[in-house]
Amino acid sequence: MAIPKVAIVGIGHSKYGKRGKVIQEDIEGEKATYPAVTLRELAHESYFPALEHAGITNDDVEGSVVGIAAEAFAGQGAGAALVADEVGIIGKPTMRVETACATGSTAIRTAWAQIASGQFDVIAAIGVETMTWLSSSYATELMSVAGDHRWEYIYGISFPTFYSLYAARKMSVDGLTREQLSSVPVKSHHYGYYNKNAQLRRQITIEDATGSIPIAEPLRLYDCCLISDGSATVIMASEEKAKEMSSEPLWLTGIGTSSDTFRVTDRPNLTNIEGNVRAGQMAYKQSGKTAKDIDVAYVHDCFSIAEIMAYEDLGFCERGKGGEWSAERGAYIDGPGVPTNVDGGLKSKGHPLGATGIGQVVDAYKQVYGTVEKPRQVPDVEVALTHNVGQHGQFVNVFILEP
Amino acid sequence: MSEHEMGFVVELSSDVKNRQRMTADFRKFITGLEEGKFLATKCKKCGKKFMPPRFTCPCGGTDLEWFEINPEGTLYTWSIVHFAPEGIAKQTNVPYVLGVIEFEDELRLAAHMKGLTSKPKVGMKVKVAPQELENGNLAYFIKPA
Ligand SMILES: [Zn+2]
Repeated sequence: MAIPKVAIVGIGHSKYGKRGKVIQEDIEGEKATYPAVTLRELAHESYFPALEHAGITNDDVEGSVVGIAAEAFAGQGAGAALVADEVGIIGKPTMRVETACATGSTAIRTAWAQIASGQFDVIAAIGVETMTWLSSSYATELMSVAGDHRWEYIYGISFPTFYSLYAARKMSVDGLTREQLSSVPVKSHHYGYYNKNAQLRRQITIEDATGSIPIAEPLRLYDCCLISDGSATVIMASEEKAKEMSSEPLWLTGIGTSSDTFRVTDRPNLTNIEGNVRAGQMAYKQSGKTAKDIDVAYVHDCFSIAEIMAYEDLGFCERGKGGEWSAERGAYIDGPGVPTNVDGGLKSKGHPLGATGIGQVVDAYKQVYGTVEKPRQVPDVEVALTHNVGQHGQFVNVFILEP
Repeated sequence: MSEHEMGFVVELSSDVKNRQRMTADFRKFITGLEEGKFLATKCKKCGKKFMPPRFTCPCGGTDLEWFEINPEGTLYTWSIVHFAPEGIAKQTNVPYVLGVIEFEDELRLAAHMKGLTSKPKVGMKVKVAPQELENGNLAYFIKPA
């Protein structure tokens, strides 16, 4: 069943990176640590380029949805009010949404619903996160407390640990190998190297990945995505407005979404994420597309194992064969299947939580209209897919996008 | 710990008594542990079983009965954690081994593993056992059966 027509008409994307912290005296003369880049500055970096790209002014924007995953990362409560005010969407409705690492795509899904309902015609979805001013152990803590406090967190199940539980299980059940896992970040860095917005632009080898330090075995450092500062914005419009204001709209023809159990021990299996499957099928059905129709995909590679499961869950390869698919270059532009994460993914481009799902859509837009750096441009993109996961499947959004 | 010297694995953070807000239902689980039993729950309305125990059922049932499970099972999956979240790092050494044991009826429980002499293996026979810690607190661990 087709869904109401809503389009992306403007895109903006900050460079993702590690801006770090500054230590300076606070008002009482005590040394204090602050983020080197603020939410305000980051929001500017993607919002105004998006507005300019849409060819409109703030007078045309009727409201905003702001994705910030964790107030603790920003040190700012009610962050939506700050961001909306800062970029000048004043006197108009705003709200913050949060679905962990899927926060950005949920901002788009929420903006979509506000337009699809007929209430508004033009809404900005803005995702922003400042993370790198905190120590990585504290950042890990902030992400780990989202696990069940009673039955998971107290055992020190960190965020990488959740995914390592899938990796160990999949190695045993599906024969996934260490080298197959390593082939995922090798591809991410291969393409991220060319992406001017990427945080870590460096090519790596299978040996680099396999030989990197263990984080939560079987996962190693190069299996894990980055901690990043960054922002991304899309301006979204109703069918009527989109046709009026843009000669190059990108239509959201599928808005699939689902979830999975809170506790990892309650999942029906740990070789796939069934929430991915449900969200993917919903998006395919709405758009009338199948995995075979997808020309470029952005999947949530918070960990290498997550990308391998996504290949299977979204139907890019056979179930149980994701590892082989990756090792056989199934997801390369010159490979046999759907080119995936040719922006570098969360691993090389970076993962500023609230921005990530929007950043995927921004890059999809650029792929469709042929404006990314040449070595990572997929020829003739007619259908793009984005897949953004919160936690390890507690939140999943899959979008299909078409010109 | 290097990968050659498994066997070691820290005891902690699974100090269940001190790290939980003690609701009446949860106390029942702890009391079971003190008696050496692992208690799960079963919904009287729909029959679904829960481990970790749930005290209400997604079917809407609020009348759940406790039952003791066989503490032996197989290792469903594992992880060797080298970087703990900050709140846990203060109380435990790294690396530690985390396991998920699968009991009858596909019920599962996550806990730290002890007594390993080699790397954990999915499918190995394991059991879960309560253990008093040096500080007098209670924990439970997954151990080779
Ligand atoms: Zn029930």
